[in-house]
Amino acid sequence: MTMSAPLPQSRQSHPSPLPGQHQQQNPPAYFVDTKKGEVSELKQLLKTLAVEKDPKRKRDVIKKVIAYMTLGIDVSRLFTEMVLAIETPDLVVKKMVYLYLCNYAHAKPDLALMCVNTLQRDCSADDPMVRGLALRALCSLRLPSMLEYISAPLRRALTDQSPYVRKTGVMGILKLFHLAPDVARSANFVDLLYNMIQDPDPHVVTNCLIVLGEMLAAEEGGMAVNQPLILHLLGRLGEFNEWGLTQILALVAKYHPADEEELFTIMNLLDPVLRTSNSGVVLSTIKCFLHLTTAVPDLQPQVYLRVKAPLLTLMAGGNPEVEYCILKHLEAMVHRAPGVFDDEYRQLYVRYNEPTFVKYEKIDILAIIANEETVGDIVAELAEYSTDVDQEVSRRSIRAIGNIAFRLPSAAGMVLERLVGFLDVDMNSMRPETILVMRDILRRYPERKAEALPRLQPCMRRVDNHPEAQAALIWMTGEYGGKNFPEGPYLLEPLIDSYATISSALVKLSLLTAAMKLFFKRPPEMQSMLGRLLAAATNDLTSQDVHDRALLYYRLLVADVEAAKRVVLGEHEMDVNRTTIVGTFAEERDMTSLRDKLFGEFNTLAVIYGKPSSQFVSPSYRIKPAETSLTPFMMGVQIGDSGNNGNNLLDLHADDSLLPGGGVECGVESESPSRAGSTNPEGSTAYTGPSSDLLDMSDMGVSLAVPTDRITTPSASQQDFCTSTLALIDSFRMEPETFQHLWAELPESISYNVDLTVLPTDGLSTLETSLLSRGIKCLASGEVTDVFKLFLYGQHELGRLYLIQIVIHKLSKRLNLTLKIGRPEMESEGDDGKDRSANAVVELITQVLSSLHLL
Amino acid sequence: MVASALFIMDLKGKIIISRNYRGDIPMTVSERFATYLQEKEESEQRPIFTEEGCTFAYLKYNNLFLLSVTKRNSNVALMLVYLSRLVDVFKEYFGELEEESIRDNFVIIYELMDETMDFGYPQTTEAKILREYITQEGNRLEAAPRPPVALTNTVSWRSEGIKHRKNEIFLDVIEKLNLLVSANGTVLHSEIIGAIRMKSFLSGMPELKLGLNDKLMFEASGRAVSASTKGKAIELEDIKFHQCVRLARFENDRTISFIPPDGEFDLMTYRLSTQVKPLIWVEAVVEPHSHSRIEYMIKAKSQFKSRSIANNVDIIIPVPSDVDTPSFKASIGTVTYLPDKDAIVWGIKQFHGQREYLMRAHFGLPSIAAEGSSANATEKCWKKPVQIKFEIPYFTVSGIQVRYLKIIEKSGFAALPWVRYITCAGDVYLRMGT
Repeated sequence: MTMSAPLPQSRQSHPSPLPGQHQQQNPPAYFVDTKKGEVSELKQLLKTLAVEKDPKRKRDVIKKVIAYMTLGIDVSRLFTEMVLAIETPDLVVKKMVYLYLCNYAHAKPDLALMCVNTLQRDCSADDPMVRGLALRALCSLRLPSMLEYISAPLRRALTDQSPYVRKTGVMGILKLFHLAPDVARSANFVDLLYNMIQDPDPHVVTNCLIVLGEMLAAEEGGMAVNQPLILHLLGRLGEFNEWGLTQILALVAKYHPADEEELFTIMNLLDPVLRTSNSGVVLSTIKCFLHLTTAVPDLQPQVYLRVKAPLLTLMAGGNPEVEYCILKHLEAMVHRAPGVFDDEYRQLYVRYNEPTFVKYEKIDILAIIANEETVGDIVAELAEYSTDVDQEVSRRSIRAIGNIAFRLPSAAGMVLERLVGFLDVDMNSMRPETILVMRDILRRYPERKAEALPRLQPCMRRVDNHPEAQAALIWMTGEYGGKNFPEGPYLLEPLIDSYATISSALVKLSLLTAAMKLFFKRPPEMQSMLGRLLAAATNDLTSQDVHDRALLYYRLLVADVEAAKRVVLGEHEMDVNRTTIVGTFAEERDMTSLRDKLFGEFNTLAVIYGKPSSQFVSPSYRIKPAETSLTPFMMGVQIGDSGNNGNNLLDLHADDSLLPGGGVECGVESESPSRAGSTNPEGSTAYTGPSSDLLDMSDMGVSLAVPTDRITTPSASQQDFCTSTLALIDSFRMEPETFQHLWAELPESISYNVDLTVLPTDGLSTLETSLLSRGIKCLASGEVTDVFKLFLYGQHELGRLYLIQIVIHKLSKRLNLTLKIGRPEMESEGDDGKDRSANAVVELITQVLSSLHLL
Repeated sequence: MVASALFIMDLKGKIIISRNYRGDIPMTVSERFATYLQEKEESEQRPIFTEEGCTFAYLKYNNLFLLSVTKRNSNVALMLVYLSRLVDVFKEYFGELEEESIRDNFVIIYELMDETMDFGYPQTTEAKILREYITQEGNRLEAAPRPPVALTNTVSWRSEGIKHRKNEIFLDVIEKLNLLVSANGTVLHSEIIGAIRMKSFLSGMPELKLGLNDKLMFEASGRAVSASTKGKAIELEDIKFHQCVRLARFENDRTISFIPPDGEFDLMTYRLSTQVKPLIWVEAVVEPHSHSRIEYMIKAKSQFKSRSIANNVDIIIPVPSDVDTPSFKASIGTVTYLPDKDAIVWGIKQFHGQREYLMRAHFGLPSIAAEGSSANATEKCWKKPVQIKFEIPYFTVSGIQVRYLKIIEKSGFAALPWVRYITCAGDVYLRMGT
């Protein structure tokens, strides 16, 4: 903790001691203005501390040092003396010295080493408070030279009696990690931490999750999430405080439930969390719900309904800053769940004394949730705000009224009427904004021009000081000033004649275009006007743009009037039948995909800013998105294997589980080192609770059998059956992670159903052995209530990969086979080649099945 | 959420106290915040913004800013919630949080900053627990403070071995009414924000069970809402509980059971957005007399039961900014003109139910006002709503009732629960007609 740059601006402040300090008998003037001399004086005082008897005076001196530090005065000169003061039984003094050290150690790395001994000794003090504080200070010095002294106390702390020390120790690992990532990695801390997730103290568990999440963020996108871990944490949900809850919820949001039943179990466990009064926790919970249900889109509307009330309560009860945050999320949700929040529109009425940032959000959301029934109320309410003293509130509410018209065609007439009314109000900001909004409404509903245009006429001279609005008026005159609006040309004429007084290039450009358009619609009236305008504009030296545009029009007209007409009016003007010009405005078109992206980052800044985090978080601080982990449940959804609720529970990443305790039967590809086995004896013994049943894979109703021993010993007798032309490589092995990854990536090549005559009698082992003898290896297999399931793979001599899922339904004896084919990049075979090889695989498997008399 | 650093600043953005948790940003980032405050109009300021990869999230409290700075994209609401929890902790410690209380207690503030957050992650923000081991009081230091057991056991909000000579518990049911009424008298929006605030002085580890006239609970317990259950049952729309309440139990049979923290806390908050008629109805008739004077006729009528009394009623009526020579006549209470707020306040100490009072106000207007500005100013003042403040004791708008509070403790002491009800005005605004 450094204060490397002292803060000069606070140096001259606080000329007098503040009131309220006089409760003490000897009021030390902590905050008096100071000169260099005073720091020296303090140095003298500190030197005499060793002989000072009165603990109170001792404290006062140290306190004064801290006070100077707080003011931003550089007191690093006192380092030596302060380090000496650390040798004290007085905890108050000790804490202050620790604080001082953390602030200045960076400035005096050599001197800081002096205090290491004391800190280390304090780390073994009797008082757990002292142990914890000393450890925290030691880890917070942020000095590379300290590294060698940190490790041992840190390791000891992890098995300390006191949970306070343990939780501080866990956090210390993260500090160490940032100081020296390699040291922290090589010290096996990750495994220790995974073990400590079972610590009986929830604070310790919370910190474990935090530290693991951050340490693994760069490489693995955070902690490995699996079923036993999630169930374990959810089972203890009630023990955690609000900050712990958010850590757990962040993990749950990354988890893919194995099946719908589990999904509902988790959601039911999380449901009470919506009752907590912490907005951060509630938003995290909503994020969980949304992520958990991505595989079941039908459920999402229910989720929105469920979270509606809690969100609105938080909004009503919190401080405005939190409310702002919730409103931003609400806005994201109303886009995703149209209709759900509609009936609560009154909750979004602006309050008179709210901060503006809250008002703006509410106004924006009101525009989105207005529907046919509520539109009258909402527009009336927004009209109230349109005359607000705050110009931005006024501007936004007018814009919102316009947005309602875009969304609800039926309301366009009513909105337009409202807006026309605004034109008469004599408030500076209202008229220009109204004109801009009307322009956009006419762009979408040109058929309404007759209602609006005549009313706009008197506005022209009233918006001189607002170029944008004036330009919009001119544009409307040019665009719609044809048949129905005979005054059109005479609206432009005064402007053309006072061309020299127009200062805005924007207005001039619109004037040029509008005059051109009108010329083609009403040539006799416009001809002379246009001539005068072009003359003036081509001689205009104030803006190159205007000059060039005028010249372009002029030359176009000289060259070919018909061509000029086509250029200026464009296609739609030619087509008389066309009534709507704009379907969707270009700027709205990309919003949907953006909103999807933002939803992936729910409850982060991305939602607040409405941009993906990659646009504002510097790369080194970005969290690598976790690879979509794959569960059979998710796969089931992908392959459309619906109507089969039993296709569950084959946990493919059992070996990612990294869970401690000897009870874990980790059955998949045991050659990849399971971290469960490599526990540190010191770390795991002391405070791991009794191995809980939750973590025992055997409880999950899955028996994972892996015939590793059979891979190299294919049965010779079955070699004879190799009649297929398909040649698979025997030595090929695939890691479960690769399989998961590929399975998610690859498209399905073939799906094949066949009815078996009998079910495999001895479970699946014979089948697996037979398949193995043909080069098809089993990654995992298992039996759940009413299905057998196998995940198989093989590699062709040419490098092509085959990934196979076989599901055998016990009742119907139907076997369902799904095949995915991955090809090395250099292979450029056509699709029918793929088909052929897919058929070959299916053929091979049916051969095996019939050789076992299953068909 | 990972806060790199935390600052407490004055309204100009000058640091009063700060803590650098992670050392990955220079503490000079605070200057950027100060610049932000200076350069952005108040209407452009947002409580969360990002500049050059640093995200600033801040709260305004009294005359202070609490600011956290982070480099990561993290749980955004959590940052703000942490800051507001920190405010609560400081308030618990120092009574009120303002510049002076920070300067008087900077050492303990550092400690609290370190204890509530480690390396940028929130740890414990339960003030009651922190108070047990974060202390600077000399007389308590002889017995060296240790982290209390509460930090470890599952009841993290209460320590073992609490003793009170007199076992008492106080319940305050406080309902805040938010109301917005349009100029023609329609209620545009009304909601009740309720809270049950407890002050618990009970020994040991008491088990409490609270019974409310909750309609859903009656249904859950299979009891029909009959005349026997005194009063009518009410339907609470959305309830939030203090973390001590067993949520699973509540989900099951709507029983509110808990081990309370010691001292004061909000047991639950709830919200109801039922239609509520204005408890005090105000009609304002404004007569501007062509640039010379303006007259107000205000009628206030209480629409609650005659045996209830509203205390400290303030009716705040906006007036144009350029009025002068005020004169008032009221049938009850006192009227004051607040030129700095451009308003008159009609204060009535006690407003009985079912009564009606009148007040007339008369102002002079500058006779030679600039044509446009005066009309504008008058209009703007009409846009401001009339605000009403009041408190009505022994009364809740929702009709919520505490039916029982059962207290069970091993030692079997007898404890007295005290219950009070009060309704007060939150944001009650009546729009004025034009």
